[in-house]
Amino acid sequence: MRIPFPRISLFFVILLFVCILPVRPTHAADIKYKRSIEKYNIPDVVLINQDGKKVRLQSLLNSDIPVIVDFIYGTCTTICPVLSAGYVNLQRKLDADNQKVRLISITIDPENDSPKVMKEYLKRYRAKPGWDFLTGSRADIDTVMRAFNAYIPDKMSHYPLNMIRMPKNGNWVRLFGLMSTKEFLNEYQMATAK
Amino acid sequence: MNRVLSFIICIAIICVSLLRSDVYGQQEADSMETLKHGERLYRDGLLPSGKPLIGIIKGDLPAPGNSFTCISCHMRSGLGSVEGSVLTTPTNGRSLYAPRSNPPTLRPGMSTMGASGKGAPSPQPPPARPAYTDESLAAALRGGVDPSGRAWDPVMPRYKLQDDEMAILISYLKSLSSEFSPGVDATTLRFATVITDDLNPDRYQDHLNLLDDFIRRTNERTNHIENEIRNPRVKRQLMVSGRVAYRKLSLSRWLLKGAPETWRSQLEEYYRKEPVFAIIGGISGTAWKPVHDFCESNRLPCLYPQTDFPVISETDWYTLYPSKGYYQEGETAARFLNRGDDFPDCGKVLMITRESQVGKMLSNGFRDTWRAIGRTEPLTVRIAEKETLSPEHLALLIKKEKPDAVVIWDNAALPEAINALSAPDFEPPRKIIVSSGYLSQEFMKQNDNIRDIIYITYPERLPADEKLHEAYFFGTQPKGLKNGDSISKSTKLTYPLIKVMEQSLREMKENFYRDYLLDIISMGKDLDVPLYERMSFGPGQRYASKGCYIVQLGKGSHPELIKRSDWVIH
Ligand code: HEC
Repeated sequence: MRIPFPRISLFFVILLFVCILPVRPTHAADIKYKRSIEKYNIPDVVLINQDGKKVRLQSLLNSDIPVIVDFIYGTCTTICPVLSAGYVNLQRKLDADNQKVRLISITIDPENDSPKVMKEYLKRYRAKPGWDFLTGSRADIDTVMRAFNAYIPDKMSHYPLNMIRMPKNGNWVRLFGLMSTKEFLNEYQMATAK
Repeated sequence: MNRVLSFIICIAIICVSLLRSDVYGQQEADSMETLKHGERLYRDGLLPSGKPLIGIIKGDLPAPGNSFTCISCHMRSGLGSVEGSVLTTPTNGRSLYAPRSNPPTLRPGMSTMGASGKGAPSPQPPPARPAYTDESLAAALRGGVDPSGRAWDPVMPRYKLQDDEMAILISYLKSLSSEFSPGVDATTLRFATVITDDLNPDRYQDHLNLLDDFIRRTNERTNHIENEIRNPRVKRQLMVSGRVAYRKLSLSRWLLKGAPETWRSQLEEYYRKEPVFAIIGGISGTAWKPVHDFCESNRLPCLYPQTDFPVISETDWYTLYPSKGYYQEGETAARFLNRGDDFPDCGKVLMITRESQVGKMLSNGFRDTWRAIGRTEPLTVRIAEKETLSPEHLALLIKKEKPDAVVIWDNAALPEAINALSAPDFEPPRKIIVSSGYLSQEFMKQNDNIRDIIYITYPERLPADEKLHEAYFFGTQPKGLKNGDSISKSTKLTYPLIKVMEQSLREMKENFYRDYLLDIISMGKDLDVPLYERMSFGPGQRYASKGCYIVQLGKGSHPELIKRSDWVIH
């Protein structure tokens, strides 16, 4: 069957809109963070979690439940406490139901962040099961950062970023900036709406 | 009568003065106690009652327990930090109790590093505000509004504090970075470097020359400004921009003689004569612990000392080492075995270790790591310092214990002992791990037919890699070296120190606080150096290079080294 040409191009224009253009937040005035919808190709790498177990990133992320990713490191100041407090509060708000969300933190300081350092970090934030902290070789971590268009060459050039994967289509909501719990929960709900 | 009177007066005076000194002593003890509580609040987020401090961030995020301590944003010195788009302003009394004017640029005293995160807008310095008073500071910490009426960036938490807790916190903030650390006066910032007399002078000559050269170059720039530039505003501008240091630098050499047990008193004596701001570099062939302990108790920073025997501690603060030395090789061996797919959880490890200083560092690194992973204790056989491990002894141990892997921390006769294991009727273990650091070049002397099972810890870049990075790092001809001279390891360790010093002086500006110097280094950029894949200190990190390869030998008489692991294994 031949699809008429204009319809295809219209389809692409819409797709372009959805994928590339930042989605304007509904109440832009009081939102300080930037939001966009992205598609990412998750590289096939094996990382190591806080228990020292090997995990395949693809199988962790390509999931039926919503997944949230951020980039932090064990000895980080300022940004990480705020990002991680966001994770803790989301876990509390969702009653620690780890079927509702899977939280992933990926280190940007893989040389220093051993399973021991990561475990202590999670303990300090009173993380509940369902929040994993991942490290790996510098090369693999660089690949992952690049795949998320978040290459951070040096931990001191760190910036705040959260990415929520929508289970319905595998697209990601990219949130650049620091959010309050309310904003974060709101983004989570929008991303996971059926 | 007169006598009686004067006697009574005397007694009264003595009583009063005794009483007063008692009161005075009591006050001092009280204020020490207050500062201790304040420090616990600031650093650990714990109230005097032992309960965690609760903060609220971003309007509604209650901050969990001790994760949201002042130190995590304002740093140990209280002079703040910059990370991505968030700028944390100073919170020491000196800054708070002075009015702030509108910023032309970042004010001196705040780090400008790390401000250029990709996509992250550079942080805006905050606008003018009047000086705080105790009352307005307390109100601001509770309500998040400064005395000018401006609401703080929501990243700065609002804290629930009782009046007495608030008073403790505020008196701590007042004491924080309030007076310059020892080692600086109106004209000079003093440093020292430490060398020990067990070393041949050619081991440290390069190191001292490079340090002297650094001091001379820095002072020449400062002198130039002093002599040539008359306009004080231009002068100031050059300093604020970090192009010129605020003080002349001096470097003393502290030579320690005799046994390490006697070093402490020698150090105390040097320090009494000339209190310095920090110790930079330094080399010892035997020990570093006495210097480490001295620095720890005098709160004296010690940067990049060159030693194979660093003190391994997770809490000590003042010494920043290039690496964990031999300990790191032991640690890596344990992680490598643990990661190996062919090494079962119940696998048996035999560790043979010489009772030397090096052997102990290596075996401690292995054992501590192996334990932390949760493996069962390795079977350990110790060889006395002067004894040799004979081929027969090694073969016998392996025959008897039948281990899956053998870790051997030994040097001298080790290659022969290992080569004997390749006898046709002998069943060797699956893996043998040895240290390239301990064996020096001897590790190359393995028979071809046993190389398959020998794994070597190698805590530096491989030689070819290193050459490549040397050219990149030093340029084609490093300063002070003749063509064809090879660059000594000591030189390779001194260059990163100088880079760190240059960067830190630029950032420290006029804030001569030792803790601030360490804060700044912890916020510095990672260094890509010839010797190691990466050197970096995050906040609280104390060993810059964290890596060590596991390598094997290729075939032939000039075997190549083959990497069997990443730079860092977890
Ligand atoms: C998550 C990071 C963070 C933590 C934790 C934190 N602060 Fe702050 N603080 C900031 C930031 C960012 C600012 C700058 C706010 C502004 O000026 O808009 C700030 C500003 C301040 C100021 C105002 C300085 C001025 O010149 O007006 C004070 C005082 C202060 N903090 C004290 C504290 C104390 C005391 C603690 C611990 C009990 C603490 N802060 C914990 C991030 C933090």
